[in-house]
Amino acid sequence: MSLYGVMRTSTSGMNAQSSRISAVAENVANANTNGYKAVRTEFASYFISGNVSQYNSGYVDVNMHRMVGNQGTLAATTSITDLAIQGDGFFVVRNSNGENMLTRAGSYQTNADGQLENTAGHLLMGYPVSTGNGAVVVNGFAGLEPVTFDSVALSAQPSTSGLLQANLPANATAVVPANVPSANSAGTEFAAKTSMVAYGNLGEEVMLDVYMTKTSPLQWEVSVFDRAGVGVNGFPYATGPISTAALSFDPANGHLLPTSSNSITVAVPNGQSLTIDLAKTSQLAVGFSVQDADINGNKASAADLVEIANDGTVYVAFEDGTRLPRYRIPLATVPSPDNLDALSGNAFGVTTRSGDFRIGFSGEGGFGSIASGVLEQSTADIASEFTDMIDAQRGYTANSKVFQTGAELMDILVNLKR
Amino acid sequence: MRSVGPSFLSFQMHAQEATRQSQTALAKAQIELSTQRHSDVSLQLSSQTGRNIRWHAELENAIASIDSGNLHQTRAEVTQASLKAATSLASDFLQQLVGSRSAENGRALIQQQAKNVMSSLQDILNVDVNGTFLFAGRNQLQTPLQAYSGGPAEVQTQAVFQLQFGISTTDPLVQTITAAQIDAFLNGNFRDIFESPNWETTVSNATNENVLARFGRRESIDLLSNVNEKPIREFYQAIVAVIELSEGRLNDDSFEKLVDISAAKVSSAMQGLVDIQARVGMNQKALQNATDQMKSRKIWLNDAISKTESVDTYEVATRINQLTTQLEASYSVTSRISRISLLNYL
Amino acid sequence: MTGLASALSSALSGLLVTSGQSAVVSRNVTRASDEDYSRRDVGLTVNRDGTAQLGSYTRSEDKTLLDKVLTAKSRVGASAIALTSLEILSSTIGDPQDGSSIAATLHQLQQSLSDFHDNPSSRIFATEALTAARSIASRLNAAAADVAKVRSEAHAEAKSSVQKINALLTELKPVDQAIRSGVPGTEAYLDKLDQRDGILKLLSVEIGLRTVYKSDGGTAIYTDGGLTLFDVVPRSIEFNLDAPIVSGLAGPSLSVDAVQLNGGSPELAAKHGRLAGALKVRDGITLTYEAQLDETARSLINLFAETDQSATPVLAPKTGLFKYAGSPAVPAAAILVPGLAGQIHINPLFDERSGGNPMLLRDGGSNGMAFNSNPAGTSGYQQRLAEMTAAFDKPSSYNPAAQLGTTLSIKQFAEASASTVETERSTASRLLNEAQATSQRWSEVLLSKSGVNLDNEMASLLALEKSYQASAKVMTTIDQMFGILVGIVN
Repeated sequence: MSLYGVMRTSTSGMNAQSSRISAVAENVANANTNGYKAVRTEFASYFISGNVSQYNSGYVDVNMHRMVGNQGTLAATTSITDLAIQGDGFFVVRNSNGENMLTRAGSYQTNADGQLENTAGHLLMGYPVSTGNGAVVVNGFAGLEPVTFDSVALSAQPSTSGLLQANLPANATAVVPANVPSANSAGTEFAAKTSMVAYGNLGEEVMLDVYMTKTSPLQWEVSVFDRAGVGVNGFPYATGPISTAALSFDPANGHLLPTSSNSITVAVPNGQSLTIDLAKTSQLAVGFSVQDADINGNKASAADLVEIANDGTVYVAFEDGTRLPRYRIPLATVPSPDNLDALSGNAFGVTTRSGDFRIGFSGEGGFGSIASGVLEQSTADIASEFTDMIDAQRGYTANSKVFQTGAELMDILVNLKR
Repeated sequence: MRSVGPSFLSFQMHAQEATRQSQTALAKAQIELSTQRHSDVSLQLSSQTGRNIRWHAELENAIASIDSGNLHQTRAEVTQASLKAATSLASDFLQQLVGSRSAENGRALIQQQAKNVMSSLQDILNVDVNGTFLFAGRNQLQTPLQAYSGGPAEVQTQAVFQLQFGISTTDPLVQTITAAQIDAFLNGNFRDIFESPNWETTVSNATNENVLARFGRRESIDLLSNVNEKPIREFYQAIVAVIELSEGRLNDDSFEKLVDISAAKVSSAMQGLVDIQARVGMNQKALQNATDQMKSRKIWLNDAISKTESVDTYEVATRINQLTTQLEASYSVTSRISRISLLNYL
Repeated sequence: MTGLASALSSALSGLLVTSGQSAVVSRNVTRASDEDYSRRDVGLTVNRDGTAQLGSYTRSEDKTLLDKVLTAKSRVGASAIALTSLEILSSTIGDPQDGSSIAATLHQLQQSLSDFHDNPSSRIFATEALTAARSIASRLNAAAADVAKVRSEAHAEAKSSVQKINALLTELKPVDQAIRSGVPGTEAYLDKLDQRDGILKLLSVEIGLRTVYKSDGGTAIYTDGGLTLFDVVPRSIEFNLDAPIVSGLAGPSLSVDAVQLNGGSPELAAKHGRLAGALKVRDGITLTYEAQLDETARSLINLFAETDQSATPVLAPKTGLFKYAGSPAVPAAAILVPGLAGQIHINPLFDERSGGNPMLLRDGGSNGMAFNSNPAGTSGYQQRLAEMTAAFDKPSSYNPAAQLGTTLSIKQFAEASASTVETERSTASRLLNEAQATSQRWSEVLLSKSGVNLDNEMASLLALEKSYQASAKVMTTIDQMFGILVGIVN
């Protein structure tokens, strides 16, 4: 019954074109949805094999392809929590049911809990930096937690390590043992003095006074005092030095001798044991000068998000100016992104066809890079969608004409018996 | 797009600074031109400032010294004139003395003459310059010679005469005094009146030392004389002898003795006065030398000060020209460059 | 990516970039005359899809040059105050021609004594000598007052400098924090860098600095003597603001980072800057000059002192023409009496104005008959005057604190004192000129590197205008194409 076949075939054609129109409708509707990946309609022909003398028309089958692998145009925004991926990869997000999903939509905002949430209500996941970057589980979501900036809770970090690089004046006069700072007497003499800020267990600032005193040629005493105990005229302090170290220098080049101590360990009052590295101290015939001085730790204060770097590192800053990496945002990728399961909220789910996911970091092989302050726009292009739409409309009309013709032929056939 | 040209601000700063410097330099140069000295002399002299302060002070002192030298010179000249007058007075008196021996009324005449001489001598030696008496030694404010008539010298002389001869000078018995007695009197008690210390109480108010003139702060010069000097005492003594004893009561021998002794004294006094004149003259010469030295010192100081503090007017004038040109150029360049802006062509 | 929509967004990104760049140019132009502003530039990044995006902002800066400018500014700060103070001290000396210096007045006094000597009976000359003596006493008083004024002004300068330093360091703290926590390449970050450089420039005028730029962007500031001024938090400079300035003694000490700086540890103190200059003036030059004045006054009192004229003297010498707080006791030779120059005055017994007798100058005896050299009252008495006149040229002993040598005549001493001040002044003047020239030069070099050239900016703006026009043209074209497309659908 080839006439029926004609009608069936043109119906399939009309169905196919209407699917295509639907796809166009969805694409046009999402033309301004960030992270949206356009759907493309593909047709496949089906033939009915049979009698050679009589042709039975086949029909057309519709395949909807979501072009997940296509890169959307990037548009600049002013929010640093607007993220986009250039190249391959997806953000890992978690929905309210606790399921992990992938997405390219990067417009995140801090919610009431201090978590980064996108427009679909999914939370951005990251590795806390304190657990180290090595703890990444390549094919699982373990270790990931929502990126959170708890601006209410204060955090403090006591000082544990530091650095002091200075030149000690070689031509200073040696001080007799009775008058070195460690003796803590009123007649104390010293060649140089500096001070450094350390932090105690509760994040309190502790000012450490560091005195450098020449005790004999090439021999120096470094003594650290707590500023809180400073006397009216400097010395004597209320309590003796917290720590004292003896440095001996090489007469050949003014650097520390290998046998000399090259650090000083200070028990910070109400704090941790702080080791200050003195290895680069020199003793040359110029005035005292500090080349570098640093002690880690920070004051107790709320942390504010300040930067998301290209490698996905999320930096926070404390009130006292300390800037620390807090999270690292990973990227996930699958072998066949186009076969991911599209879920609501611009998210995608892993399917067997897409292959299993792999987690890595921005910039690593096979992964794109994260950009802050930009958004990936929809890949739907109105112009091409309109072209498709016109095309589909023509196809639909053509199919309907074929159907009409088939139906008229059918009428003629039916009217034969009168 | 790197900024390659000088920045707007750096150019402005440069132009402003260049103009400011030129203006300051110009102002300085103009001061220098008008005063002919460095605009800030002390800054220029630096460590030599003390030396130039000294030079200026020395210059002023030199000028002052030359002035005071003139004053001293005046005093010395007045002293010389007085001494000369005294000498000529002595010379006249000597002639009168010699003449009185033969003259008819010689005795009465010579006494009157002696009184006149005494008065002249007092006038001559009591000379003052600006209220200071030249012949008073250090007692500048007192007349060196007290008046004789009615003064202590007259009383003393008459007392000594009374003591020696037991009679007053006006007694007729004076005729009995021999020449030898007169000689003994005049070279004895009478002479002692005119020797120190009687002289200072009876006649003189002067000190033996004169007021010295410090010259150039180094040397003290004695340009004066005083009435305590021997020639004046001798002269005075001779006059007094004549006044008191020549009233005509002495016998001829004694009178001649008186005249002889007095003439000898006067003549010795004359000699002495000339010596004093010579001494003062020599010191005047020394003063003159010192003044001359001071004058050449003044010239040297003027020269030295000028060399260290003055500017070369020609050089300054040239500098002003140069600075003015530079400033004008700077102004015109500034205005021109500020017009060369892309803004004007857009 | 192809298609009209992506073309549209490319064009849009072009517009955005161009307007962003124009904003930078316009900021450069408006702040062209701000010395603390460093020229901005903004980079472009091209995305994979070919759209352009504003990249990070950069600032024309040169830290080495900045350090040079800072050092030069400190030198200017120190020399400027030294010169100002020395100019006041120099005014006590004046032009050698004017004869207004103490040395010249001494010469005048000696001259008038000499004149009096030549006219010992003249009251006029005596009065003249007394006038000279009075003028020297008032010169010494005035000079002592000037020195005290310079010292207290230097102290006030140091005070205000300390307050300014503390204020600037406090101001720096939030800026430094913002830099350490900020994101390099953002405009806010660059503004903070400008602010920091501005503060450093102001600070360097006050005190000599050495800066250490740390890896976290923070700045540590040390004095050029090595003491810590700022590292994470400002260190305090403490100063006893209200302590009085006492003649002959160094002023109140300063404590920087809990180290006392009272001249005991000079290598730790700052060498340059207004603060260092002010302290040097307060406790250096002025103290020495004060000692010189005091020694001149003391020597003058000694010179005119009266001694017991008895055949066998039993009484101690007493002050004569010149008196001071310790009169009638005579100050010991070569022992410094702080403040003496301010106390010296004419004994009223000599002063006609107060009913005194200037002829005492000739005879002595203001302390009683035992001290009278001319008991007879000889009007032409010259001995004492001759001795006093000669004494001006006779060496005597001076305290080494005056730094002019220990054995010289009073005239030489006063002359040397004048020379010292003028030497210091010409040195300071030379140093200031040099420092100003250097500062000027480095500032210009720095500005030519970091400053704005208007022509360059205008040229940039021209280019930007063209590219904006082009992007806008592309957009209108795309709009027309869309119109055509939509028209087809209808």
